[in-house]
Amino acid sequence: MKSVKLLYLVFLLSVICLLCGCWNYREIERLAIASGLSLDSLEDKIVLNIEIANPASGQGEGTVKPVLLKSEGKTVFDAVREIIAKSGMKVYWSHAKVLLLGEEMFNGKLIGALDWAFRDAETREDMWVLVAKGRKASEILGSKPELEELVSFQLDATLRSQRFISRFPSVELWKLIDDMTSRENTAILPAVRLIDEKGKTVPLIEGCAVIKKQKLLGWLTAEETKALLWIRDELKGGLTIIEKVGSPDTNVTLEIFESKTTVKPVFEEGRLSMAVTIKLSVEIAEISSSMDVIKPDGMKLLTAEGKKQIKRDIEKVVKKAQKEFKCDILGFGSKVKAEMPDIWREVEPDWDEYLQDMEVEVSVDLEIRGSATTSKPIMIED
Amino acid sequence: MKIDFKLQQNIAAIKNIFLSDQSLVYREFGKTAEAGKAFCVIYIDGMVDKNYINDNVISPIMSMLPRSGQRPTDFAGYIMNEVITSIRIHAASEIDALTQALAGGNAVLLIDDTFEALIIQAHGWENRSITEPTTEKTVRGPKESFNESLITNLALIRKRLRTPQLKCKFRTIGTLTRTNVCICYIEGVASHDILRELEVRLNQIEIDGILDSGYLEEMVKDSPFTPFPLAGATERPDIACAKLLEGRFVLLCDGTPFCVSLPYLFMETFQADEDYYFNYTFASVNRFIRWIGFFLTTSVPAIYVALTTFHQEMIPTQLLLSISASRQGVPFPTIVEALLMLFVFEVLREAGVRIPTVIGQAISIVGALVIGQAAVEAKLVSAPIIIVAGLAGITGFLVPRLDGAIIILRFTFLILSAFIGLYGYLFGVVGLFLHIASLRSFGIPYMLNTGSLKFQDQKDMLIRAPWQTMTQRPQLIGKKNMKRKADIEPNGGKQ
Repeated sequence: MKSVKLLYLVFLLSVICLLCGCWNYREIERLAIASGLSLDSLEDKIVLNIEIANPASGQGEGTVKPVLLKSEGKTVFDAVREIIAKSGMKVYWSHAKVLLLGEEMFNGKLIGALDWAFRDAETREDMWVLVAKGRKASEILGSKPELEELVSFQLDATLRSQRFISRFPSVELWKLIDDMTSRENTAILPAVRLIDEKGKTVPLIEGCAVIKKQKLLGWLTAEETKALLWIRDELKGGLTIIEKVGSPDTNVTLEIFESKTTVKPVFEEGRLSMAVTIKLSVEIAEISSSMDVIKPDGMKLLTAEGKKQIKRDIEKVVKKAQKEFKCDILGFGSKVKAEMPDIWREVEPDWDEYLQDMEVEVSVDLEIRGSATTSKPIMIED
Repeated sequence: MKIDFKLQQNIAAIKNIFLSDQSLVYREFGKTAEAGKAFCVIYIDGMVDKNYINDNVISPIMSMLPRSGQRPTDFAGYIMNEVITSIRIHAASEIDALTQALAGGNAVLLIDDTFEALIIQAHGWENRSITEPTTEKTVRGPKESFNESLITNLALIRKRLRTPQLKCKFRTIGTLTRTNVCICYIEGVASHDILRELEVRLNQIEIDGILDSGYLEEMVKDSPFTPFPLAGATERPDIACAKLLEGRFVLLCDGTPFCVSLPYLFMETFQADEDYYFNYTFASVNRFIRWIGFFLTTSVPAIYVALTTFHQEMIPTQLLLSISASRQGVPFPTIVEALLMLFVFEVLREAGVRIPTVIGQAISIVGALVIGQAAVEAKLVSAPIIIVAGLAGITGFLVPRLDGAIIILRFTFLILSAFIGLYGYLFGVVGLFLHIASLRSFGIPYMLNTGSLKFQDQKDMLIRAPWQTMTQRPQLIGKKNMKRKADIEPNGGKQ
């Protein structure tokens, strides 16, 4: 009896060892560690480029050199496996930071690309997703950044610091898929392009791409992106410049510390409208002239001017979303759904059209809470 | 065998027993009526204080002889009580008693025409003096340590615990060594159940010799084959006293400076006497470091191997790249590297203990330079594994009492990790907890209160609470009198 029990125990223990899922003994130096990938579309094929972080073996120096691997395939995974045939290396995906999408991918191939990245066991769902603007995604992956050795690491670092500039959104893979599969089917993605600098081509992230149902509808500039993030309540920091306060040469730069946006649907006389309230807490970061905007009446002027300009920017992007893109990148639909489910049921079928003529009331509540480390402008008498 | 009436018969009998042992000294003196000697002192050379025998035995008898006329009827009694000036003396009438006394370092006085002989305790062998402890050094605290003499050791404890409640029970263990062993405890604090159990276990010991208290420790263990210590060992009298005050028992053993304390709990391995002498904040930090040290020394190699060979996604990217860079060109798999370096560390440790101290320096130089640096430069092993092995080795010294268990755990965890990654490591950890939770020391659970959430139970566990708050003795062990400050009733409250 006892020996039977012991046999059971041995059996169960060995079963546990076999059932523990996906595991494998791999030596670390045999891994081709992918730091990022780009997907482009070429006719009916997908062109995959992988940036491999290749640690150079040397005495003490931990320099990492990028190696680009390229392959083609009918599907993404097909292309991924093609790499093995070409280079003999099995790519390790868990440390891939960025997924760059070429513009042509938005001709119906987006789901294929996202599905593999989302489904695969090794890739992470917090990978950044970017859209290459004006160039092929592979060209961006092959560019030479200024500070980092690897393009992917440079893009990763930039996207991580997004909250200090707010000139582009930073979107992780899970968030993109979340946005795409919700009712509005829209998403924004940061746009990356190449610029020439000191004879080098370096990647620059600026503005965003507007996507609806696998289609790339258009681009927003950096300023527009900031306003859009404001409405979506995704702006966490950054700067805003208030121009021509009092005199034409006075530009005041404000640093945003807190920003809270509330979007409230209002239903009056059978018409749905939106009330957007933005609460801002800022500090004066820079004044471009000797004008004193810190003293009470100067501050009053600055606040009024700031409110006006921020409101103008936001209204501009609302217009653009309503008239040009004709889709709900503003995220109003989910607000209506949450607060007025009955009305939402009515308007839902043709929400995008409904949105186009909707009135949007923007109000800005600007609190300037200080002027950083000095309370005076630099006074230079003319 | 009874002692014979005739002196020469007795001398012959003893000579026969100690046949071909030339270290025995026979000194016959005094005259009887019918020619021949009246007395004979016998002792083993080197074990007896000769001056003591001269001054207190031989010379009083000799000075008595001329004036002796009528022999008293109880001549042996007369000699013992009125002539010899020794404080430790008793009469015996068996030859066996005499031979045992002789082997134990006593002198024997045989007297003609009596059926009794006298045994005079005159130990005169050399003892090491009381020195600073060599294995348990402290910055602050008493600097005395036990030596090899049981009586001296007992005095060192008595010196600190000046109460009649301190009880000492003697016994001899070992058929040939006849080692004196003493059970010390504080009456009214220590549990009588444990005392009874301890005596039963000591009685069951069948062995020819006890040369160190380690023999006892191992033979009274509840689970004989566990690598974890189930009894404490110390050469410091202050630690022994602290254990006694908590209601524990201390076993002193003749011939070794190390005494054994029991029952013993797992958390005692993380306590040091200095914890109680220093400020409690500093002591708590040190205590915490020891717990972390135990985790690191058993787990670092296993976790390193699991992460680098199974779960590369769990390593931060930069670290992954630098480990990968340092692994380039290394011929062995990570697990082989790890086993190799840990083995080398154990070799160095053992060599460092074994060799004479004068060339001990050489070992560390050879170990650090040749094995470490050269192996990395020659690309035999990667640099991180040196750090891992070094860290595992160094942190192992934080809890020296556990070293046997640590080696076993470290290698078990490592091999489990190499098979199925962190999954295997966790298996090992679960196994470890199952094992230590099932251990008992003299009926007291080994992990007593370790998982308790009560403040009182945790006061001397992960931290060392201020003395003002430590008002109670450990549960179960000091259960007869839990309050540290209360008076103890004589005889444990029994009438």
